[in-house]
Amino acid sequence: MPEPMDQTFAAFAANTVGTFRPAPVEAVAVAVRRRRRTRRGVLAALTLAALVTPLTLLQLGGRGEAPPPVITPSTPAVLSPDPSPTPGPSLTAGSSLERRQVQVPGVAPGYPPRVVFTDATHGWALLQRCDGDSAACELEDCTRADNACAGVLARTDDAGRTWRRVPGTPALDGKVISQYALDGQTLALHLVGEGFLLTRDGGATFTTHPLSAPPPEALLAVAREQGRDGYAVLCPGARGFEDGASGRTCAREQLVRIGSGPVRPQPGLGGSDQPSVVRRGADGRLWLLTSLDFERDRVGIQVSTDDARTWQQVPTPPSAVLDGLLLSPDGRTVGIIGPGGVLWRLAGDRWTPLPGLPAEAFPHLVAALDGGDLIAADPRGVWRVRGDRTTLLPGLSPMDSLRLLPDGTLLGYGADAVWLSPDPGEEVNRRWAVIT
Amino acid sequence: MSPPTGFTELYVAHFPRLATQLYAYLGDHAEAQDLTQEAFCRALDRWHRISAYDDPVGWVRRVAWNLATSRLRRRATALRYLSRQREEHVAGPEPDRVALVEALAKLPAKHRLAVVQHHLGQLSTAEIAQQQGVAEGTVRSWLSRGRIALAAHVSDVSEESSRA
Repeated sequence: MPEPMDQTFAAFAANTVGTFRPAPVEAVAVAVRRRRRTRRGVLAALTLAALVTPLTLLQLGGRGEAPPPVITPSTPAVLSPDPSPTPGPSLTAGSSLERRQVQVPGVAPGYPPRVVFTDATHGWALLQRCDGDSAACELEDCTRADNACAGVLARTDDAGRTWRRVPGTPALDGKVISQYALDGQTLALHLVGEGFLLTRDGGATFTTHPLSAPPPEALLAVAREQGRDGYAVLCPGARGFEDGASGRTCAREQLVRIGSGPVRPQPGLGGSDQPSVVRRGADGRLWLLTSLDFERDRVGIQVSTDDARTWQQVPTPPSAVLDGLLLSPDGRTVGIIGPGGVLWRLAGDRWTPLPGLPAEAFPHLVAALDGGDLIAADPRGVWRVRGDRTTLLPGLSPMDSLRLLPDGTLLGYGADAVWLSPDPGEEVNRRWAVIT
Repeated sequence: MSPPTGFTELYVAHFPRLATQLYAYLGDHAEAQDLTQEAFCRALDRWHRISAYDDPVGWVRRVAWNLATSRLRRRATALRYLSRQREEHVAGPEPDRVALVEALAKLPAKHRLAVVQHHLGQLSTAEIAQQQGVAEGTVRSWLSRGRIALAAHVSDVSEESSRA
């Protein structure tokens, strides 16, 4: 029986909790976006001041020179796989940058789009207009609880050059929505607190699904987005959408093949207090990273080359971030990021430290390309890392996240834009499109 | 920017509960709403890192409580300044039965924090101690003193106090 003190507080909570209503999550996203924009403005000003001051001093001294395009690492490299890199051809991302807009016939301007691409050409856009996006909100609190968002769903089949409204979409006004795109035909919309909508035919028709039974396509879309195509690590009985609010805890997590259940036999995983991350390369290899000491960034790594039937332990670098595994589109280049932006590359059974990664690089800001190059974003811009040479790609703005799509396309999210760069194949320079 | 996987559910489920705790601590409904909103904004801003934590909610809770403690400190400073600018006045008679939030407002801040986090936030004394960077015994002391003082103000809990 609860103590009287607990009863008093329980009654208080019961009477009070309903008086708080969080602002729409879209409005929170708008507020964060604005905050980042402001922060970038300050950072840009500081960077400019930092650049201008020494340049001015140099010019006053009669030795003014343009800063070199190559940034060398501030700490000496221990070992480089490419000790004498050959300077590559000049990068011309700026000249091949194409600007596209999410303009949907029949939809008035002023609906900020949330864009997601599943490959180089197919994409979806959820356009939601909240009160928080209005001009009057610039100086006011944009996260009022009574904001209501109007929603429209659109899609593109030509890399964002043209967009069309998805005709069969149920009403989305006032909903809190997460979108999970699997491919150009398959999209799941998670109406938070209500259920799921799913289309398998490009939006011609939708089916509804209860919260208790998310459609497998939604789980598959999340898995693909997170680089673990077809797999998940879950507590027994979990549905896969519990992370955060209703996260389950368990003594031992399971590796699950989405749609068919836990794999047999199970690899050695820890409990929910010792989380694991699975990744799947295009070469078929499955990688399992398990946190051994979260505070000290120590992980254990296992790999399977036979579709999760057997596992081999892989030596680990001294420190690595649990979600720091980098796999190139063909799955052959394997790297892992450690704390402080240190990058280790797997060569045979050895992890070799690589210099050159921007100091502020986090796993969600770095992508490994076929052939060994890296693309990394930081608050200054987007960089290509080749061997120990780091080169700023001209024309690209800083991004909040950067990831590879299964076909090798790079998809980046900036403050107010989405960046798309298809796999260049044999070409040296990548083409980029910015979609706003 | 699209709200990432996991954030939306965490936000929708935990916002009201966390705001309720801050309300009990601060005694100001609007301020509790604002500070909770701020804590979740910061969480979204850093979600790529926070989502990898064992307990993302714990991070948000800590930020929200830090904000609330800072706000309370600034408010106390302002009140002290104002009190020096006006004549001393005698408080009116208290009602026999006051709302819980008003009773909580009479407790010292640390005692109130311990009582709210323990009874409303369901945190153990060890968890509160870790969050506050003090020994668990210190939290037990805050909690004990807070409960006794609270019982004197809230008739609902006076029976428990007399039993303790």
